[in-house]
This record gives sequence, structure tokens and C-alpha cells, in this order.
Amino acid sequence: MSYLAKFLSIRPSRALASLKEKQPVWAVLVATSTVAIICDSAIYQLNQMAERSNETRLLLTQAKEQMSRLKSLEWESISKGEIDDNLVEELAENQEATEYILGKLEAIDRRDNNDSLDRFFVAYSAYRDQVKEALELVSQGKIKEVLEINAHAIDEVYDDLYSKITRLEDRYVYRNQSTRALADFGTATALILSAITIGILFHQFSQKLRHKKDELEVAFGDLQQAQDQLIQQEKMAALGQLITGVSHEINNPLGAIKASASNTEKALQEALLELPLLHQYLSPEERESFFALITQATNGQPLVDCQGSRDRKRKLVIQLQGYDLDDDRYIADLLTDMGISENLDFLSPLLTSIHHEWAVQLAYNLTCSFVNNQIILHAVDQSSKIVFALKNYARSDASGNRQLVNVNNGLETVLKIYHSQLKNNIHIIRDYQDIPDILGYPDELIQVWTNLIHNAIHAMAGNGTLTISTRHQDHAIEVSIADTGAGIPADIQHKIFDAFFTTKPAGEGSGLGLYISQKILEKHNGRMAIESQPGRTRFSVFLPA
Amino acid sequence: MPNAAILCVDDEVSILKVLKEQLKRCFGRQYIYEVAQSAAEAWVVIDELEQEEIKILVIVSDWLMPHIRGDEFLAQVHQRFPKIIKVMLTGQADEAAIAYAYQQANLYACIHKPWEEQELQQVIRTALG
Ligand SMILES: Nc1ncnc2c1ncn2[C@@H]1O[C@H](COP(=O)(O)OP(=O)(O)OP(=O)(O)O)[C@@H](O)[C@H]1O
Ligand SMILES: [Mg+2]
Repeated sequence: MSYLAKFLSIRPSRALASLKEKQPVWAVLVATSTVAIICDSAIYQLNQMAERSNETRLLLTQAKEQMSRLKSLEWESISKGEIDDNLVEELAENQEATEYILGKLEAIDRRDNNDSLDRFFVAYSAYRDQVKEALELVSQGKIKEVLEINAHAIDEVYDDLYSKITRLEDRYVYRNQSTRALADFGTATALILSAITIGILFHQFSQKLRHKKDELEVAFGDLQQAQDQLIQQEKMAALGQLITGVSHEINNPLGAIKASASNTEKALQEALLELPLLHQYLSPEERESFFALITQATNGQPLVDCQGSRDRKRKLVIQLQGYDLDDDRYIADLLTDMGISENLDFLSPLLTSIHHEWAVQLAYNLTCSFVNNQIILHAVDQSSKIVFALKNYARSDASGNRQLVNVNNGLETVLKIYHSQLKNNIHIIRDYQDIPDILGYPDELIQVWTNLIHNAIHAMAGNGTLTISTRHQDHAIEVSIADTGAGIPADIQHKIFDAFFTTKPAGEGSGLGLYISQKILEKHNGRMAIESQPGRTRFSVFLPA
Repeated sequence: MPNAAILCVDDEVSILKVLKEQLKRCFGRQYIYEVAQSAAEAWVVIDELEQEEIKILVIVSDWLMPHIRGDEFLAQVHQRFPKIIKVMLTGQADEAAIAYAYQQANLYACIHKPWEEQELQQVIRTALG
């Protein structure tokens, strides 16, 4: 850069700045090509000049040689004191050659318009005059005079001429050399300049590339952030569904527990008040029947479905009709709730007693805590199941590291969370193979299962068969979730993985479920395949094991 | 013999059991207490009671149930028996469903699980006047 700065005589920083910011690439190209053309023509001219001065120098050398030859010829004739024909011819020839060279020199002189040769021509014509004079004297035979007067003058003039030629020659040699040096310098400059240009252009390009790369990186970062946000949103949506499911799953057993506990308390309070009357109200035989009832009640099956208990109650009412009670329906109801269904013969002593209603009620109160406790135990089981599922669901990898995930457990967790929706006449087939744990992000995988199972349940509209199977083969595991719902029409199958594509009404589906699932699977180097026709849709997930 | 009934609908047997016991303990032998595990079953019970000429005064229904949800079921009941008092007892129901039930079923009250026994008794007692 400092070279460039010297050439442009601008402070480096400014030169750089102006080149970097303001000059587009084409401007730099145009400028440098102009400079290159100028350099080239200058170098060409310099070379031309060098060529010419070299030419002149050669001519001068030739002229010098020619001159000394001419001089020796002339001297020969002068010293001989006569001019024979041979000599005349030779002289003429030599002179002609000399004139030719001089003519050339003159032409150059005129072209270059430099007066450096002028003095040479003056000296030459002086010399020529002297020689001419001497030769004339020789031809007249005045040898003596020639020798006396002219010989000395000729020598002088010749020496002068010779030294002038020599000096001129030297000058042309020097000029040639300096021109060549200048041309070399020019070539070097041009080379440096082009190197600099290439450097600048390269710098600009790389700068631009770096800018582009930076921009792309920023855009990519934004996208990733947006995607993370989507995943987060989807997670929140999944959490919303989860909370809905969980509140049902938790509040139901809580309601049962609360009511059972207070029912038991009330029943026992009542029973304790009435118990002392037992001996007073019932005869030993009736008491026996009473305790038989209690024994049966504690062995009975209290939690049967309603249809069953209504049938049982109806049968009991028929049996009770034989006892001519005015409240047979009420007694039948109590007995049904106690789990009594069979033959009522063992109860006949009690039922024929005038205190039969009091006795059945007391038996009911004494045994209902048994039923209520069963309800409580069942409810506690139910809620611990959901808490366990939640714990699995919430166990997120805060470290962001992959960990060993048991996919079968993950699927079970999701099924538990969806329990309340799944019992709506959806038959579940679990077809789990013993698959190895895989390395992954457990909560994200759970999100995938949640989405697929949620979609399947939705597609079946609460009625159908959900088949979940896991397989292990060729270093991969396959999880497939199949439903018996309406299926995905062929013309939208390619769209379902698009973000925001949904066929659900506004507010019900975001259309992000499959999109996010796909992204999560990509993160796990996995993939998803679909197979769908009306009545059978299967999503298969493949994950490297 | 009472000739009026209270019907409870919930898909969980244990809820039905404790609910019935609570109502029975509160209102004693004034009423007949019937339970059903789904809307479809509830219709069977309703028909049976109608045949026996027993009038249903109150229906207490869960919301999240198989096939037909509580709000829808109560709306259907309302079309046939506008006089029956409808109460929803639910562990979870979205706002829209509750609003729908108030509008389409003339819902009397919505009680949330786990419920207070007194609240339930109070609601039904005032409803029955
Ligand atoms: N098992 C399936 N059966 C039929 N159609 C399906 C099934 N799974 C997905 N689809 C179709 O693909 C669409 C996109 O599913 P995706 O899970 O991406 O979004 P969504 O379920 O509509 O919304 P969200 O998952 O956010 O609640 C669904 O709207 C539905 O039309
Ligand atoms: Mg979905």
C-alpha cells in the first residue's frame, strides 16, 4: 500500500479509505487500465528513443571509422604528392559512403531537431574545406605548400572533428543507456502498479465477500433464533395442551379423594352414634344377618360400572318386592352401593325386622369407608401416574447436551399425558420392541411424539385405533404412529411439513407441529416418512441408534 | 316413594360414587339418585325415569367425557327438557365451552373439581328452591 501512497502522493489511510469506500470495482479497473495504457505507451516511446539514439551512435561510430579511413586515404595522396586514378576512385567511393552516413545523420538531426550534431557538421565542413584545398594544391603539384601550410591545419581540424565525434558518440551511448534505464524503471513501475491493482481488487473482493458472509451469518443467526422461538412457542403450545390434560387428570382424583374423605368421616360419625343401639334394635338372629351383610359388603366389588349396577339394582328391587317394604328402591340402592348383588336370602331376618332400614343404613355407613378408601387409593395411583409422566416431561436437559434417551418411556409419558383424551373410545395398541437407548434431547423428542400423537388423535376425532410401534434395525430405531383417521389427501401431503400449514380451524392448530418435529428430527440426524390413505395414516420416525 | 331425581354424569365411576353419596347424605330420601358414565348412558337413564314417571330435577355433568362433551350434552338436554336444572362439574373446561353451556343449555352453575361439598349442596339446594 505504501507504494501506491507514494505514487498517488496521498496519505495511505485516505487513499485506502477512498478506494475502499467510494470507488466501485469498475472505477478501479478503468483507472488502472488507463494508467497501464499510459505506462505502456511511455515505455514504448522510451524504447523507441533508446533505439534511435543507439542508431545514431552506430552511425556516429561508422562515421568515425569512415572518417579515419578517408583521412588516411587523403593523407596517402597528400604524402605521395600525386593523385592517381586508383586513389581518386577509392577516395570518391569513401567519400560517397561518408556522405551517405552523414546524410543519415543529418536526417536524424532534422527529425530529432537536436543541435548536438550541428557542431559536428560545422567541424566536418571545415575539415572538408581544408582537405579539398589540400587536394587541389596536390593536384596542382604544390606539394610543398600542402605539407607546410595545410598538413598542420588538416591535422588540427581533423583532431577537432574526431574529438567532437567521439564526444557525440559518448553522449549517445549515455543517452541510450539512460533511456533504457528509464524504460526499465517504467516497466518495473507498471509491474508494481498492476500488482497493487490486483491487490486492491482482491482486497475489495474479499472485503465484499466478508461483508456478504457477515450478512449471511447475521441472517442465519436471525433464522436460527426465529426457529428457536418457534420451537419455544410450540413447546408452550404443547405445554398448554399438557396443562389442560394435567388439570383434568389431577383435579378428578383430587375431587374423588376430597369427597371420599369427607364421606367416610360423616358415615363414621353417624355410625358411631347409632352403633350403641344395635343390641337394642336387633335380635341376635337379625344381628347375625346384619354382620353377614357387613362381611359381604367388605368382600364385594364396589367399583362396577353404572350399567352393571343399575341391572343389579333392578334385580334387587324385584327380590325386595317379596318383603313388602315401602322403600324397596332406597334399600336396593344402598345394597347395590355396598356391592351386594346376589341372593338376598341371608338378609331375610334383617329385612323382615322393623328396623331394617336403620340396620341397612348403619351397615352401609360402617362399610362405606372401605369403598371410599378404595376410591382414595385408586385416585392416588392415578395422580401419581400423571405426576410421574409430568416429571418425565419436564426433565429437560438444561445443559443442552445430548443424553441417553429411552424412546419407549418417552412414548409412554406422552400417552399418559393424553390419557384423558385417549380413553374416549380410542383403542391403543402398543407394539414396543426392546430398542436401545439413543443419544438425543429427551424433551424435544417428547415434543415430536406429542405432536404426532396429538395429530393422530385429532384425525380420528375421538374414535379409532392408535398403533404405536418401535423397532430396531440396522443401527437405527423406527418409531411409527398409525391412526385410523380420515387420512391426508394426496394433494396436501407435500405441504404438511410447511410451517403454518394447517387444516384445523383458527385457534386450534398453529400448523407448526410437523414443521417443528421435522426440525427436531434433523437435529437428531433422523427423518420422518408418511404413508396415508383414508382409514390408515402412518408416520414413521427413523433415528440413528 | 320419591318421584323426583337427580342425575349425575361423569366418565369416572369413583366420582359418581362419591358424588351420589354426598347428595344422598345431604338430601336423603327426598330424591332418587341416578348416575351415568356418558351422555349416551345418561339418555338411557333419562328415558327409564321418564317411563317410571319420575321427574328429573337436576343434572350434574362432567365436561370432558367420551364422544359428547358436557356442554354439548347439557345443550341437548336443554332442548328436550328446558326445565331441568343443569350444573357442570368439571376438572377442566375451556372458557368457550363454559360460555357455550351458559348460553345453549341455560347452565345454572359450573363447579370445579376438586369441589367443596358445601358449594355443591348450596347450588343444588338453591336451584331446587
Ligand atoms: N395423522 C394425521 N391424519 C390426518 N392429517 C394429518 C395428520 N397429521 C397431520 N395432518 C395434517 O397436517 C396438517 C399439519 O399438521 P401440523 O401438526 O404441522 O399442524 P396442526 O396439527 O394443524 O397444528 P398444531 O400441531 O400446531 O396444533 C394438519 O393440519 C393436518 O391437516
Ligand atoms: Mg399438530
